[in-house]
Amino acid sequence: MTDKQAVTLSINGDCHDVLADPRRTLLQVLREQLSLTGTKCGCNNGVCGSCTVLIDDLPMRACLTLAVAATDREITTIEGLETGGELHPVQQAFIEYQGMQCGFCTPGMVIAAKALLDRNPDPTLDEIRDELSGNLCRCTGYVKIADAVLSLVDADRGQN
Amino acid sequence: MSEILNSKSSYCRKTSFWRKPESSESTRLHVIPLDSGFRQNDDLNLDDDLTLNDGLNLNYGVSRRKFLKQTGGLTFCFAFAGFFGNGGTYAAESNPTPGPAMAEFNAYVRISPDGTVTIINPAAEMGQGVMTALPVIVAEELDVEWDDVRIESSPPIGEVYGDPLFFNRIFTTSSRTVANYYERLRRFGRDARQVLLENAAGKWGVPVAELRTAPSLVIHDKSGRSISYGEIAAFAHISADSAAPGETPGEIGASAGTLDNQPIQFKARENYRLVGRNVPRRDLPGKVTGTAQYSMDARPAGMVYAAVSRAPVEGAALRAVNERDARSISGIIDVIKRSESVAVVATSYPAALKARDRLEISWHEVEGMSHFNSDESMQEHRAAARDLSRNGFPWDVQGDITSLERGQNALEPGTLRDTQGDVAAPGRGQVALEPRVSRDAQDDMSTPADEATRVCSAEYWTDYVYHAQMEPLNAVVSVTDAGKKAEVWAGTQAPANTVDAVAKILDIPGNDVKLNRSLLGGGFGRRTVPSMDFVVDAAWLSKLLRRPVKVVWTREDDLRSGHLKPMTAHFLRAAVDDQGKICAWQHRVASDEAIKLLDRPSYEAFGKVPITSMLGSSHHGMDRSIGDAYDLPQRLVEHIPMDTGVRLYPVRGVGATPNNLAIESFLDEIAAQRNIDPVDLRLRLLHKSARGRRIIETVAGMADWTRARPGRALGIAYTHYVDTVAAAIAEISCDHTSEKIIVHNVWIAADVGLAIQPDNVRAQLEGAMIHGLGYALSERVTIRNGLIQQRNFHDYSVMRMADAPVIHVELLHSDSAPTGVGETGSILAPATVANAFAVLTGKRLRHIPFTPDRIRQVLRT
Repeated sequence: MTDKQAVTLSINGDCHDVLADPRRTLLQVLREQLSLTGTKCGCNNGVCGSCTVLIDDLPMRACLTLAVAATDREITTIEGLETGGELHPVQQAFIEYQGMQCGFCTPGMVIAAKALLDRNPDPTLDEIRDELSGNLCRCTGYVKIADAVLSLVDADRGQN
Repeated sequence: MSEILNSKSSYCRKTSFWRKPESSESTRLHVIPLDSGFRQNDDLNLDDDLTLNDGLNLNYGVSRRKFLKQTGGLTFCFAFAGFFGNGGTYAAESNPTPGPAMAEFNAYVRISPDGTVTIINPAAEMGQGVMTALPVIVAEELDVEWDDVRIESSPPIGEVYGDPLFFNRIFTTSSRTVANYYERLRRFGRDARQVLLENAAGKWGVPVAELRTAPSLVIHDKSGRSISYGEIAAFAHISADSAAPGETPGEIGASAGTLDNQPIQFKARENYRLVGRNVPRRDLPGKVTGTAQYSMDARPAGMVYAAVSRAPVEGAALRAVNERDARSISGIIDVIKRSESVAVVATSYPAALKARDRLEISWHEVEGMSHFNSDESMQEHRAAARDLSRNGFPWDVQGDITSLERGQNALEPGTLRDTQGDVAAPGRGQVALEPRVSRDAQDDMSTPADEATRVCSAEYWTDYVYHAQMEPLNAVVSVTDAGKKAEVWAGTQAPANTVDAVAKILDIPGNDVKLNRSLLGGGFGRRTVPSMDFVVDAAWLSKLLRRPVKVVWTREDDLRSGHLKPMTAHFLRAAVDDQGKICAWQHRVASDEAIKLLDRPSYEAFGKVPITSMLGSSHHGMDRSIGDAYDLPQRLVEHIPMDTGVRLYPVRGVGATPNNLAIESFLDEIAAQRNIDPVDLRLRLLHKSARGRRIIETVAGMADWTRARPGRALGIAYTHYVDTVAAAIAEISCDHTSEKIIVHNVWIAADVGLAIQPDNVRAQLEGAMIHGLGYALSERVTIRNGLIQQRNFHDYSVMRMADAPVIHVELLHSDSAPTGVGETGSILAPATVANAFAVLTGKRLRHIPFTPDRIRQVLRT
């Protein structure tokens, strides 16, 4: 009943073999067993979005996802967004537009914003507001978060 | 003229929340014994020749420069008036080994020979940007290149880093950080720069007056020479060797003598390079990459996890625990009990949680509290507010309000009759307008008597709300040395309270508690509580288990142990003449005082008055002149204490949010009755405040106040909380299907004095506005049988992005000192919505949050 199970997780391009209770969530494995503490736990109930990660490019709640269910899938956490020491454009935009205050919701918010832009590179303000509404932020007025995401839309438009 | 103080005691300034320390008091400190717990080090005797500042007119006095020769480095120390003695201690501890020579300025600034300038940030960084804003103030006056600046958190030494307003504790609350540290920090920067100038002058043999600074450089134009701050730090170290070795303090800079004999000039504002220019916040990069460290992320070696059940109501003691089922869980280490908490310790957090779920715990009842119901308590609050035979604590009194008594008929039954339940019912709380009845010429001295003067009255109510910081509360404590020492990882707004609480529960001196000040995933007041209920369990558990223990509250734990913003009931009366002039004003606030139960030391230090409940209710400025307040010369503002026993605590906006709802709603009701535009009424009431009128006119212009907008309406509110003068206008509509209020736009105009980081000020105003819209529309805690009913964000709903308005902010700069902005938006929000709703529907919402059921009730009346 408490037998642990060998789980292979592909996270940010690296394979990790972990021994986990099959009822262990991906969030628990990320934070406690793999020390990937960038993914945050705000409610453990799927309602705040702080634990949002990408699983096969889709934004998912790590607190509602069993680790065993994430095997053979590509997991991206906030630690995996940088490439070659360069911040991802969404990360840069969040800094530039000061799209955070305490920063606790930020990893989930950045991941959700990246997922939105990957799926829809040209969202309207209303689409951004709707898509990111699963991610709670207690500190900001959301204005600067929306500005950060919109800046990337405008940048894309400018290139086209 | 100088004065000697004895540093063996702790000193602090007794002052009110509202009053800035007066300059004439700057060398005279009122003595209040403080709890120990600050790190003390009696090896240093800086007090022996401490001189208080005598030449400069200081609010937070900085004495003459001090330096201290210690092993491994040179410590410059700018001793504070009255709170000195440990700055040098800390500096020595922070640089314990001999290394590169380092000139240490006053333990707020260290300059190393490589040119790195380390600025110490005393305040808690919880997203409000102070870890950047405070160092910017120092760096501007020091004239240092920002890229050379490193920022470090200060240790929890209140005497050196504390805020005099809060009895020399580090207490990052109340929107006060930038405002309260501003004067001190810019003097530090200025005086440290002067030391550099004097040392360069001495080296070159030129007068200080011939020198200037460019960022991180001292320049002598006549000879074309320049020298970097780092180079000066290296040689200043050598020159100071002439001081007696050991711990003998002395003075330097005698070569120029300008510091003590003449006022040193601050940098002219037109030369600012950093202040007002939006220096990038230093905490942001780590927050977007996931490397920022919160206490929740701390993992000392050998750490175990604990899930803790705490007493459900304040003062409840543990009765019994059935732990048999819990102990069968794999990974469990132990189940450990205290009177006020039961802990399950396990090798993993999920195991601890799972085992805790299997505990059967019962608690002793607490008389009164275990049967407490918030709905019933609200009825009692309302009755108390309305019961004019019950005298309140007179908070703000001026003139007389006898003209109100002559309008007793306004309070006729029916107008304000109460009913059961907690939603606004038909006919309740409406403004009553009755002609004055009792006319007696002899009584008419205070206010003009005329047939048209009427007495209005109204009621407003607010429910309990919860802090809801995004990071559930947590801490890690590692007790070592057979229980004699402890290391703590915690996100705290009050570091000394944290050290004190841990020291007390471990029965060790505060000196032996090392606190690692983590970033805070939000605070909003919760993380100052003296009990440090989210820290102490990890401490006693670690002592028992002899290994580091992490206690993380679930969101459910965080809500269940919520320290709520008090519920309030307001009863207001005003005598209004036919011109709309308010001849008398009475505002009765029935509520608990939020710090009375759970921050007893502060409550007593502030004189046992309803200090947080009544914030925002007074009609005068912080210096008690009218300031930027409404001109209501005949007034009685009073507090009716409720003392429910509920766990309460200040939450962002404190009493100012409910008080603003009441005042600003009532003004709009008066305006509507007298057919006065709400903007015009406020301009009239602000006839003595040019700042206030400018803000009202600005925000009205931003919102295009007079433009009709079909299906939508505007509502305005104004505040002068902590000297920030601000007004907001909300544009709303009402979705008649869902009976939900939709806030489309909010315009905010604010005069914040000097904005150190203007974008950050905007961020604070925007964020607090969203916070306050949560208070207005959805946030509510209810209590049944003493237990908080809400569990998580599904039933305690804070505003989400799709519901958030577009927020437009305009800052009006002025030359005055910076003022506080952390709460302003949260204070203004509910009244703007209530006033807009009244314009939109002709109905008045009186009870926040304005949930669909309450909106439905009001619309059906």
